[in-house]
Amino acid sequence: MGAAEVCALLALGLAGGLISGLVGIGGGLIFVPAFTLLLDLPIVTAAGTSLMTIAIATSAGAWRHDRDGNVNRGDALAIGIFAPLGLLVGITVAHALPEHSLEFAFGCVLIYTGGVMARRALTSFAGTQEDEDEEKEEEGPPSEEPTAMPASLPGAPPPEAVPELPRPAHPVEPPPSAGPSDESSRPPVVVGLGLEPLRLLEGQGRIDCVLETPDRTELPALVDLLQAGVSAGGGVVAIVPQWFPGEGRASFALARRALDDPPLVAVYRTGCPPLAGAVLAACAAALGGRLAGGLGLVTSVLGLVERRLLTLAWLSSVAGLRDPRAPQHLRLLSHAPGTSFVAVVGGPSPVVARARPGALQLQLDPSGAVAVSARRADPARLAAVVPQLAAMPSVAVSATPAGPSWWGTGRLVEAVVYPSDPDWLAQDLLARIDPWECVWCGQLIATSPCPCCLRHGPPPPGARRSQRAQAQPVDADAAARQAGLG
Amino acid sequence: VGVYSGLFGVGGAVLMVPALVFWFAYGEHRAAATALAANFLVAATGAVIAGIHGSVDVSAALVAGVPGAGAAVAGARLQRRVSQAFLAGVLALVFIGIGATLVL
Repeated sequence: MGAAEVCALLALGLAGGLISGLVGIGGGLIFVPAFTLLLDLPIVTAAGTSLMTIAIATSAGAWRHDRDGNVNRGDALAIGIFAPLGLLVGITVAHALPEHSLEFAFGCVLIYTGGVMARRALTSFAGTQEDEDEEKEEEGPPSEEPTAMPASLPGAPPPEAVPELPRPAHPVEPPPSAGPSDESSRPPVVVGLGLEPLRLLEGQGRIDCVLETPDRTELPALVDLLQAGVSAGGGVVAIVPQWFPGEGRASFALARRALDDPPLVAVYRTGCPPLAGAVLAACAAALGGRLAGGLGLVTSVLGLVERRLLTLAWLSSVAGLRDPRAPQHLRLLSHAPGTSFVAVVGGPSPVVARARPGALQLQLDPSGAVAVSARRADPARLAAVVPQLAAMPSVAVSATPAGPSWWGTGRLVEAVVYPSDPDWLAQDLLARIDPWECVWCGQLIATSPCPCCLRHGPPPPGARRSQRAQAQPVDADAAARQAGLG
Repeated sequence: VGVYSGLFGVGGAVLMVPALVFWFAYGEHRAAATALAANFLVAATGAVIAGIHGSVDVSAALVAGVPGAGAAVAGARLQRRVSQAFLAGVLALVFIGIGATLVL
């Protein structure tokens, strides 16, 4: 092996290794012809040498990915164990069939797959561009709406660029003036991670939003945001979606711990889709002024509120849908042109089906309303599949930033059916819970672990009934006044 | 994957990545990482079998494989810094390029 051949092999190894680490392919398609041409090896020896090269090169990359937690070990092991059995079959078939016809067929499959991947990339890229364009278009005069965002956080527009909130179907009268200041009964401020601020219900309090993932350098701004919420509302109800990136959730946890009194920031973790999360935040902001039990009680009932939300979606593809997972045949059908699907999340059982006119007959709350957001699709597509939606009061809201990544497609219509009467909702929730005082932080709560101090604390057996009297709905007029304090 | 590796004498990750993405709802990052780990097992098994039959040039494999290992770690680190859209674009180019080579 001469010096030139060694240099060529080094370059070959570097290129193959970089590609394998970046996109996960082994590089054998490069190594086999290179060994044949450079070293004049027989094809059988070139294939064996290629396999050893791949094994060496991929070992480090696989170790690195595994350390980062990216590898599904069970699936990798299953493929790694069963694939060698297929090797024997493949070698036998290869000798029986014309090699060129196999190469041609597989080449066509790869070109088709590459085309589908390119479409995914373009769709995702177009979605990002669209968001940026929408933000530019929505720049307007300063707003007094409860959507304050920290200007120093990534993605948070400066105060003069706060997007105008969509008008709800029913009028929302802003509170005429702040009522008498009462520190203990101020409605808590709602902070949503990755959630768009929505104004859907009467008497909603303040909602602050962190739309993009804050990293460690934005910690001071995040601490300031939480501190401002505590100062304005006496406490913060933080809604943390499970799909919000781990780095952002870790930054939030650090910022919370940096506060003088962390239990004043109650945490509710939710697994619901992006638009349902934003609707949940609006419900929390409306309940804050209606439940006189304080921060812990408002956060405790959010689980019950979440169960009342029904999410429906029209999707151009379900190939990338993870929750609920689509049946295999629908995933394959997604690649066919002209197909579309409907998904329902939050009902008795998740549904994924082909989108056909009138395909879904659902039992929807007749007193509810529906929030609808569309991204590169006509909202009427969903109403055509679920006719009952057309009869409900509807609020059009802007497309959710996390929608494409949650639903796995850039063309979609999301709709969330929610209870439209917050006073009735507060009464109904109170009738379903049995609150108690947390033994650690003293907050009135209805779930364990405590959403404020995050410690486990079951209710004391004899104290429930007497403490329940404290959890009463406040006067509606007072609630409206309190909601304006933020 | 095994059948394809036996047919063409290469690793099967080009099949694994799209299969994991489209049929098993993996994200591009996780699919690439899992395919790489599975590919290591397949290639290691194949290399042992080929070695038993004396059809491996160990020195050439080491010269190309050792820098390849370092580059693979760099690629894995780089992968964490790029978006899913970029990765999907790179995969699309790789697949279309390999596919066109096979067809033409």
